[in-house]
Amino acid sequence: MVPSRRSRHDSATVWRLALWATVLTVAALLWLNNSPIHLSTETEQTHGEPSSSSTKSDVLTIIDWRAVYQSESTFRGRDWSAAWLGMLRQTLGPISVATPETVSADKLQSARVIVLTHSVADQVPEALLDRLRQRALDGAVIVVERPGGRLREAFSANGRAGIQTGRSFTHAEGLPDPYRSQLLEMPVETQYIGSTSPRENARTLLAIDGAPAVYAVPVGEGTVITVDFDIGEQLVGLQQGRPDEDFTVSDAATPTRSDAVPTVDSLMMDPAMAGSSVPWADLLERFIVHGVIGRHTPLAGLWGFPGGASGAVVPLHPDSRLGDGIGWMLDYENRKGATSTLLASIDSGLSAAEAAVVNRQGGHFGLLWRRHGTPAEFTEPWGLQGLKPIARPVTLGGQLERLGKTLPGGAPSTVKIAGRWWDRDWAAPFRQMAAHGVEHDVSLEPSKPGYAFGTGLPTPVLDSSGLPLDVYEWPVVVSSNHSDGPDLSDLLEESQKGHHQVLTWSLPPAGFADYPDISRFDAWIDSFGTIRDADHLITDIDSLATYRKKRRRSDITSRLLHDVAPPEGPGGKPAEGDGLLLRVSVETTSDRTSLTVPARVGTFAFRQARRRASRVGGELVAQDLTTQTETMAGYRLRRIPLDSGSTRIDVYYAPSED
Amino acid sequence: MIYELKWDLVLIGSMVCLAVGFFTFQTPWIQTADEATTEGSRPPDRTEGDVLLLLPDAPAARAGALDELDCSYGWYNSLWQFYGSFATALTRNLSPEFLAGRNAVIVPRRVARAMPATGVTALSEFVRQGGQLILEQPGSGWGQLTGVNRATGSPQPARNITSVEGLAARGRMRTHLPDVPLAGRLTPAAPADPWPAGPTLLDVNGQPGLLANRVGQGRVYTFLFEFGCTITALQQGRPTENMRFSRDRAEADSLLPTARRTADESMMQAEAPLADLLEHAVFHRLSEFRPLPRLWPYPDDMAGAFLVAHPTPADIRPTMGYLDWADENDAPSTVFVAADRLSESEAALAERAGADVGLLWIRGIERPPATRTIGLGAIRPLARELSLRDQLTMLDVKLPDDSVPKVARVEGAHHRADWSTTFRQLAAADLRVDNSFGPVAEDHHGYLFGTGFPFYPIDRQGLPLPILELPFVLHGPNLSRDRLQSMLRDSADYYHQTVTISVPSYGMRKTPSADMLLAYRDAFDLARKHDHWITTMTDLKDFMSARRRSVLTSQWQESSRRLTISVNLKGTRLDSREGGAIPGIAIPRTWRDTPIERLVIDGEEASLSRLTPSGPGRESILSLDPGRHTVSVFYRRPPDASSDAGVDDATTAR
Repeated sequence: MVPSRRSRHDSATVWRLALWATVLTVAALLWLNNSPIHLSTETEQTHGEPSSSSTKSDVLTIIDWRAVYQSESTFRGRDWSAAWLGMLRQTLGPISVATPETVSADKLQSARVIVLTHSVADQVPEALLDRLRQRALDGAVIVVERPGGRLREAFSANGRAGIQTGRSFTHAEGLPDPYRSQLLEMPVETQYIGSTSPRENARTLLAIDGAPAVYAVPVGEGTVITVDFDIGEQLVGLQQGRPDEDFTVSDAATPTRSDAVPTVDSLMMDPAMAGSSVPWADLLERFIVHGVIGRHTPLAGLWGFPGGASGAVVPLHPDSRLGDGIGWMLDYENRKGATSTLLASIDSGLSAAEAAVVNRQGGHFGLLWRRHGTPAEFTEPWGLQGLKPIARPVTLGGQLERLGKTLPGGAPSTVKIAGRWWDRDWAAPFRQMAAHGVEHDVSLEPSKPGYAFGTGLPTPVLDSSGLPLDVYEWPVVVSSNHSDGPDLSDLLEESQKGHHQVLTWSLPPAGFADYPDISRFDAWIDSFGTIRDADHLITDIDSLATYRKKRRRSDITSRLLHDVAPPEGPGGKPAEGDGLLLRVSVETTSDRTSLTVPARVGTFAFRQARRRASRVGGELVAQDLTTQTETMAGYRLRRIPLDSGSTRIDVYYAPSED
Repeated sequence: MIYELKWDLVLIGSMVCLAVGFFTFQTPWIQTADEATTEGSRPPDRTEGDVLLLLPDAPAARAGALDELDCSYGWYNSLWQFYGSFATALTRNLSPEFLAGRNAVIVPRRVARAMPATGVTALSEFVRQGGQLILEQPGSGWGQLTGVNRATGSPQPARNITSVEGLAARGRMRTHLPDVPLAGRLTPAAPADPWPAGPTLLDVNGQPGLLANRVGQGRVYTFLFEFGCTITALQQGRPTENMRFSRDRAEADSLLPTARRTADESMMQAEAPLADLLEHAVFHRLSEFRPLPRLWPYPDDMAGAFLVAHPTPADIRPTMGYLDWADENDAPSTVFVAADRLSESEAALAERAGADVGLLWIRGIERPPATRTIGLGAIRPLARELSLRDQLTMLDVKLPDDSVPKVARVEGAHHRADWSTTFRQLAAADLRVDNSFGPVAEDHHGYLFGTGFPFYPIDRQGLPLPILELPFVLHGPNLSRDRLQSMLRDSADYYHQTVTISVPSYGMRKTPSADMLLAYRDAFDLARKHDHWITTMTDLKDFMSARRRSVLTSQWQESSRRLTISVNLKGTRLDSREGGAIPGIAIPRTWRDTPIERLVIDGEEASLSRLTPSGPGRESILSLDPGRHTVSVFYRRPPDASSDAGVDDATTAR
């Protein structure tokens, strides 16, 4: 039977459609092969977790993680009590931490300083209140942050003026200039509890907008210090940047665009932070620790830098272009006895052979993270055989794994986001880092050199839940690409004099490829001498982080004894009158650390330090120790070099002749 | 069914063809350029000069191997570099009248072998009357003039100098002469004692290699090894076979790094300019007989010259960084740019920064070739590689001033794998200086080609090409401050070199190092500290030209120990030399261990402080203004002057 004309036509139409559909499909695939569809991706994140890290220390900090987690989910409303842990660890080194469940009578009894963070101070059980009162009577220093209920009634002002928004610090008791002036210039964005009248016998130590914000009340032999402002909000806002209340970050350049990727500059708490030569966050921390707490009891701590150095410079060399040329600056740094941190992107062309060479030279590797969702994201085509119509961003985990295959030590634990981009979610990048085992981030590089984030020291970051993430942020303080703002020599000088900072310095090794600026190169060469003259180390993140971790994990306990006759001083000169003895026990695994003690305790001045008597050949022998004078934000300390292991030191204070 | 769909299939087929064509044309087929070449030619003869070089009457046949190459112009290069002013003549023009007034005559191998008896006679008489004659592998027609006691056996390859006792060489000369890789064959000779007890000045392969013979009042120096070809092989390279520098047939027509041409592997890290040392050893010998002045190879009494080159195959911005620093240091540089990657404004910027702009001849080695596409609209299926002449024209149009670039480097410091094709191409394009010879690898450095001084490459017929090759000695990854300082110091103290360093625009991207930037940062200060003239290639070329146009002759009266120098100095105005660049006059500092005691310039007594010592070397340098001058130099008589008594003043030595 002959097919009808109509049926032949219908059949041809079907074949025509199939043919053209095939042609269009092939054309589409070929076109997509050249211009693939970009897919987005979700990167694994983790959330903050309560920290259980604690050591033996004179300073006990009590924090209620549940209260932190359950606090209001806005930036202002969040409980930032965890900032106390960062502050005390950064300033002193080891601290003891307890929760309401783990705090014991022994811990309370052995601590000479007890800090009740706001998470706890809001509602303290009667039994604990009694113990605290007794400890204060016995000579301990109790610090309470924005207390509520019976605790406020017992030790603090009435708080009846309610929550006020603070604008500036107006008084800082005992803080010497220039640090006092610097502190009063600090941008303030926090709340304080106002009272209608001061607490009787209270001495104001810090005022906000003229109102007492930190004040101390003598109780028996001890003191109760009330911190009546949200110090956590202030510190976190300075150090991690301040987002909107819902934890979103708007791009400072295009604030009305909801899809714009913000840069790191958008995080800054205040425009005044840009190009600042003062590490305000550290200044506030040191004032609280040395100027407020340390005013009422001598605090023993561990010096923040190995070998007693005044500070450290950490050169960073981020690179996505030079491949095996990434190590050329490290070559020269080695000649100067220095190391640095090199951050390579996965497409830089770095080979395993060169990575091994850098590793042998002591260089520390990190990832230059081409983060998805930013203009710097790295995508790779995906498909079958030769057809790859889809481009997928390589996630952080993928980039770490890929770079890890090139590095001798495997996946790196240090990261820097390429291009100074951030995320609209304030803490998202940190959560992603924590999920992949990243311990150190160096992404906060402002467009102007200086302490845009209030510090140069590595700071533990907090999630938007208020809980800590296991990541340290090392803000970049010095950048070679910009000429505005304080220069390296100025920052070094101020660091050596009293701020004692880590100056993280971003120096892309490809910076001389496009325009070899010989003057800028000369300045880099000269900087080694300048840095050494300022008694600063030149080191890498891994080395310094290892030291600081050992420092945090050390143990320090001490007792303060009164009416002790000091030994004869230098030249055999006897002291006049009875003095104080601060008996310190240190246990540390670091062999280049130093103990710090105040140079004065009230009217008593440091006289001598001795390694406690030990039996040598049947005789008790005490060894006089060499000490150095240091000035930390205007507060004078004595620094005593230590060996690793256990050391017991007696520090004598004699009545001051001043 | 196919019939039903035929128009669909036709349409689809056309689309497929268009698409294939489009994708294919995105990578056009490149047609390589045809390059014009030129041949070598005899430079015009010069009649004035203390030293006369005799040249062959006719060019040789094209050499198929280095052994066949006529290296007479190897002597020309040596004399041009060392003396500056010297005479040349064809053998057929040789006559006693032409020899009158000369002090030395040089007879290269090919000339010596073909010298007619009349020429031998004339030269014999010249020597007897006090002249100095240099013969290179003279053969048997020279009778007893050479005093060489030949041995049996066939000539063997000359390897290296094994003794310099006869030269009484000291210091670096003594240390480094045995390192010179020799070329050509060695005429067998019987052993002989070193000078002055015997005739041997230096040994080669353990037998006499250079001998001196007293004949009448003069001297005959006989080379039993091929000096001309040794110098040529050191400077221009030692080909392996068929005058090529690679045995790999696949590389026969390729471009190779010039370092592949070096005379010996040991030259890859040569700290001493071996070709120049050998020249100095030979020519200073002539001054042992009587003081021979020469034109100093640098303006006034400068110890040497220092040049910086910046090959720039792509973006000029990195080079601008280097030029800005040079400008801050008031120092000029030479930039080799790719004509297709330079804009007019960039060219103007470079010139404002004081740079001498030359051509980087793009050959597709470090980047894609420079091409001009051919087609219609967006469809350009063909690309024609721009020839050297095209690239020069393109560059010339972009340069702000009227002068045409005369200096060039081949991209990647590559040359064709054969003897002279690239030189012939460069010369055909009217380029006058090439700067492609040098070490580019990280583990190579120094005088790979035996000299830092420019030389004329010769073609396969042995004729010089009208272009100078100016080697560089340090480049990018092998450049370090210590090396540069060492080379400049040695140059100031002894070698008096033209030290050219190469700082490529891509250096800090491809092989970044602090050493390179440290060297560049201090380069100009180091050059000035070591009294080196900082200049550009164009200026150096112009100065060399002025030096060659200058004329210097001298007469020696042994009785009065008086050297009379007649000079006509030509200078040239240069941006890199304030007051003009005029060659100094180098005068032997002592005569038989007695120093100069008087100096008379144009009839007036002059202070001896006008003479600048050339480091611990043998000469003092006198700076004069351009023009004609007569300089009389009196050497002190030794305490026992009886040896000079009774010498007939009428018998004026040459």
